[in-house]
Amino acid sequence: MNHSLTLDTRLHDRIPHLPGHRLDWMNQFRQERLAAFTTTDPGGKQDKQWHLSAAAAADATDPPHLDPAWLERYRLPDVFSLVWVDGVFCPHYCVREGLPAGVCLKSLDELSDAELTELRPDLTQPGLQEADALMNWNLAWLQSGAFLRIPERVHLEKPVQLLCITTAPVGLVSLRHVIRLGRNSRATLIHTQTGQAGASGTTGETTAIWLEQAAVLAHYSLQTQPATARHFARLDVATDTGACFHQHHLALGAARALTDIQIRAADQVSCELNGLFYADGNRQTAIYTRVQQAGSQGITRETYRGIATDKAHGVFEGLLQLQPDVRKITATLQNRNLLLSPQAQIDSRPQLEINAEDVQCSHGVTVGQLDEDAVFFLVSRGLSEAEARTLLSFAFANEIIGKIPLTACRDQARQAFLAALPQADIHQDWL
Amino acid sequence: MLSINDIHVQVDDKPILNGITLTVNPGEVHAIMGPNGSGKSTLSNVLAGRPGYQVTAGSIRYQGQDLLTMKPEERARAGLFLAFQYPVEIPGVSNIYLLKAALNALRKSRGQTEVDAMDFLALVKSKIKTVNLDESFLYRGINEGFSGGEKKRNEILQMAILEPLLCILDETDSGLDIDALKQVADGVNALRTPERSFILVTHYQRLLDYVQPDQVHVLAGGRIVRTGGPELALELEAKGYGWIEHLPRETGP
Repeated sequence: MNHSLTLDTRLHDRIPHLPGHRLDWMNQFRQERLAAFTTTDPGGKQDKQWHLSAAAAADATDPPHLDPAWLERYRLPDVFSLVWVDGVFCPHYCVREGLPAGVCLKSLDELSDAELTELRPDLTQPGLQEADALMNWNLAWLQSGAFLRIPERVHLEKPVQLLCITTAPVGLVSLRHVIRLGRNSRATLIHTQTGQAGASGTTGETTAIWLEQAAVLAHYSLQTQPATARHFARLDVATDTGACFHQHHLALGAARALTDIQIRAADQVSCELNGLFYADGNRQTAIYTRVQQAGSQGITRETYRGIATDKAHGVFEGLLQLQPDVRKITATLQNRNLLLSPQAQIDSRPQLEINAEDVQCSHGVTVGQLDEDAVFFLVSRGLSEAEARTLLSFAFANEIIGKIPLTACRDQARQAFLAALPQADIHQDWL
Repeated sequence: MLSINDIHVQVDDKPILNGITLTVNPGEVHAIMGPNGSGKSTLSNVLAGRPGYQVTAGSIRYQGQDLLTMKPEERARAGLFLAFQYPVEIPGVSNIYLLKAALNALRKSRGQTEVDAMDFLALVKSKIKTVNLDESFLYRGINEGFSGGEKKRNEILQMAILEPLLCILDETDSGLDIDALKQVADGVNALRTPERSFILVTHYQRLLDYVQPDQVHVLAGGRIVRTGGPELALELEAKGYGWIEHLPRETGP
């Protein structure tokens, strides 16, 4: 029995437990994606190790168990929330009371076959870029995910939080979230991806976001998986005229973490991406962004920072593409990185592809170490050298974290970063 | 309090200080003046323990201890404070956090508990008035976007909170307009006590119009070439530094 046949059999056995299993198109789609996964050569962003670890992760079989108190550490106050534990949707942990009329916030498990069929394009079309190996894997094994639809002109006052928690020592989690904002609607979406100590599985989440004309979405993504887990995420954002997508993404955890953000910007779209990664030990973290300016009179601002220490490896690759004939675009791509040890490595590759005139574009990259003058300044005030270096590392990250406008989210992100720092005897008060 | 005995200092194997001897007693204010490149800032940095300065000969005693064997943070915790010529900007950490962290580092080294939050806030709010900075500066990044004068007043604020025994002001007056200079001087004068000593490193005499020194030392070529009272600063202001650079070395007091 060869490898692909094994996976075929495994998927076949698994399908009865997955959403849409009574739908022929869905089952066929899963088989197609699996075939694409097994025939796709790993490469580029995803090396063979990613491929193997995804395929090797066993399907979770045990019912998930979560200490509710632990969940509340991550659930933000005053939000609507959906919760998955080890990829299993947990309706009893969710908060949905008080959703405005017309707003749909459900798990894919809760959708009828007819509703799933209505969502078929969102579930099956990869977005700006063809599905790569990991996305194919995610789509083949798709087990759950969120569906959020906000009607025209509805402003959702409370944020929506998607909490994806892993607890199992091994296992595969494959979620796909579909977010649709109608014309002139507004929402805040918080995506929390975390895991309990010891969780060592592979989590894959893909998200498709569609912003109709003048829709506004603030998106916060905080990934704090334990250093034994693997996590990949792909985000595809499609926009219509005048839409606004502002994102803050923090990748602080996982042995291997990969985030791939793909955005297609129409006319007059405002796109702001702020991001931070922190990698220590032997961890590997990568953030890829691709913003395709397909319309004119838009603004794109990307600001990413990375910190690597010990023997960790970080990657940032940002691609800004301006299609021919677009006009009056302002686009900036800034990436600053901090190396805290001689063995740490960060690769930064900002790219601008400009096929248009009458545009303003710039990019800048730095990879450096802590400013020794600043270290001396702090020790001259009585801090130990270790405290000074920790505080300066924190300061570097906090410039990105501080941009998060949602207070509860910012505090949680700051706390998560402080927890990741060694010797971080830094208290949130007074910061 | 401080006894500098014939120290010689190199930076990148280049001699900068060529035998400085100086004694500072409790409560005294010493002004160190001199032309550019005379070694004034080197002396400040050596006292504070900045890396990169090699002391090749001589010794420094501070409060009965061998200062040169102490780490910079140990010097700070022992009450030595350097107000920087070019205060660094550290966005991402608030000014008030630094003040609290620094004060607690000192308290911890003395076996004291961390400062109570309310007491600390009251202390900071009272001290910030003495340097004429708005309270909003407490919650901005350390020196982030501060003007030159605001940065220097922020240094004086840190000094006021930490209440050091020996304050070294490294050209704190440089780049200040007359109002800012006076505010810095007022901050210094408010801190003068019979126990607290100051070393004012300055290029110009004008700071000394507002802070009366006990002694003025003139550095040239890495040596103290003249020591006198406040009138020496006036003489320098009138004549410039050209005449003094060729004077023979004086033995320090």
